[in-house]
Amino acid sequence: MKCEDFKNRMTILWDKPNHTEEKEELMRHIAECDECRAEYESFERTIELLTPHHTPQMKKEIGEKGKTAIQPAWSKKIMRIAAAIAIFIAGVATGLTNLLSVDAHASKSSELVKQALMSMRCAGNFIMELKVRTLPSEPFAYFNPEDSMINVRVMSMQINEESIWRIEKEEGRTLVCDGNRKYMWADDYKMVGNINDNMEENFSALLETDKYDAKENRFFGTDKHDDIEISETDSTTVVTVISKRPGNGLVSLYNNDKSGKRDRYTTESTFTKHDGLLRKIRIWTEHNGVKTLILESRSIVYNVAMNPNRILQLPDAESEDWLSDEQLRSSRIDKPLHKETATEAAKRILLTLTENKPETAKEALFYYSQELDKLTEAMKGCKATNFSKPKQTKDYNGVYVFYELTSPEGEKQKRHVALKFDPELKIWILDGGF
Amino acid sequence: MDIGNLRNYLYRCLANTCTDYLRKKQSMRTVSIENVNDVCCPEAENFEQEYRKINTLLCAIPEEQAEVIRMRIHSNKSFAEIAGILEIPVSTVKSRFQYGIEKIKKGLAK
Repeated sequence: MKCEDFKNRMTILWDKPNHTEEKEELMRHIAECDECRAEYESFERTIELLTPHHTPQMKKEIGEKGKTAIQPAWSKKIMRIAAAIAIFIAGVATGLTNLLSVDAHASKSSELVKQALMSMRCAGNFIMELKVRTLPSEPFAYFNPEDSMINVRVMSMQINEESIWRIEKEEGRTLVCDGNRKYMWADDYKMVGNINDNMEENFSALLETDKYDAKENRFFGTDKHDDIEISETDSTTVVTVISKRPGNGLVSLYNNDKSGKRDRYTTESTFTKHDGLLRKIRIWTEHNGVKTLILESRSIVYNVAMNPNRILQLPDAESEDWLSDEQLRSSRIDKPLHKETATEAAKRILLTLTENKPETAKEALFYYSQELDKLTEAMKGCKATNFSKPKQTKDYNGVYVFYELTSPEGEKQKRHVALKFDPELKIWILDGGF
Repeated sequence: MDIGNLRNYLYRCLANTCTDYLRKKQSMRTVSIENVNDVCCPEAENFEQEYRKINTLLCAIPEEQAEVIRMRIHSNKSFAEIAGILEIPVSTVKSRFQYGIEKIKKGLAK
């Protein structure tokens, strides 16, 4: 037997049954070859390290009557595991029943989602590399079919029952959650918030899987009005959902078509069969017959070796440099503006940019203070007209105002701005759209 | 989703749930194998220590490889049985077992 042949076949030495002709042949080679024997012994030592030799200890407790009661140290663990198994099997049984119902595709899609969510919770950590049509400095709720794709990375890890995670846009906005607080920063600001502050916007659908049951229909689009297609390969199941609802939970765009027609959203999710984990996701929007890929996962990896410090890394800054949302705004607001509608605020803001007078809307443009030069240069000579009434979505706690932008060359574009109202300062703050 | 052999499928459910629950309870979920310095000695004095030691080694390799190693060593399943449970070829089972052991071995040698 050649050494290469031995190394290719030696794994069976640790297979059952213990005695076979092939094993004896391999053992004869070990007796004759020092190098292969050393390789075998090295493997054997490693496997020995992985082989348990101890058995669980039993605790003894003295009862009230002085009788000795045996309380297994691992009994609670076993009971919890048994309960989890029972719940899982019940869920599987329910899913199997649902498969026989009239809405088989919708039920199967829901079951796949539920299984994926449970698998993601149990997996503990993951890294998602995404391509998203957005801008680096914009909030995480901002998606635009007209923007180029940029890289967005999502990292999540479980430590001591707490979840830590990080979302970072390539060369742009980054958000970190350390289990107690959230930190978000870009070039011109550093903001700190509580664990319940929804800075991650719709990305909470990926990060807060324990809250998923209420959101699952929106994220994977298993609403009863959606069109659902399911296809399978040997190892995967692909669920494609076509929806006309405004957004699917992760991507929420707003239709600015005055005809009232809604955009269509297509979400394609791929799960591996053997573990039920989400492996790939792609989302398209379709507006006026044009289908555009908005979000695509380049890779989703689970249970990778991760250093928590990589997730929790913050920019160099003193603690006093981190300001709350309220502190950020109040530190820069000179005087409160008169009450105005969101549409009026949008008009005023756009006017200041197109006429190169951003200082007249300094408060409203606070989040763009470092980019005003670029913005005014880009908008110079343009005209903003046909402002819509403010529109809201459930996933965004601000409003959108749509308008028409005419370039100096006469080219028209339909665009929008996102605005958030500060109830204490009573002004609209520009929150996105550029 | 095609279930196939029910016995293997239920075993798979049980193995996954147990493994995933116990992994979730671990304080440090993942650690680079190169940073594991104390798994060789001293020897584990009890079940808890031994369990943590073994789990630390397995958490440092890809889950698909760790899964095969657990099923072979801890559950005493043959490679053929593992292939049936995971619905993958026997050759893939053997490869995952071998690559997982090699990775752990190399990491301990550093």
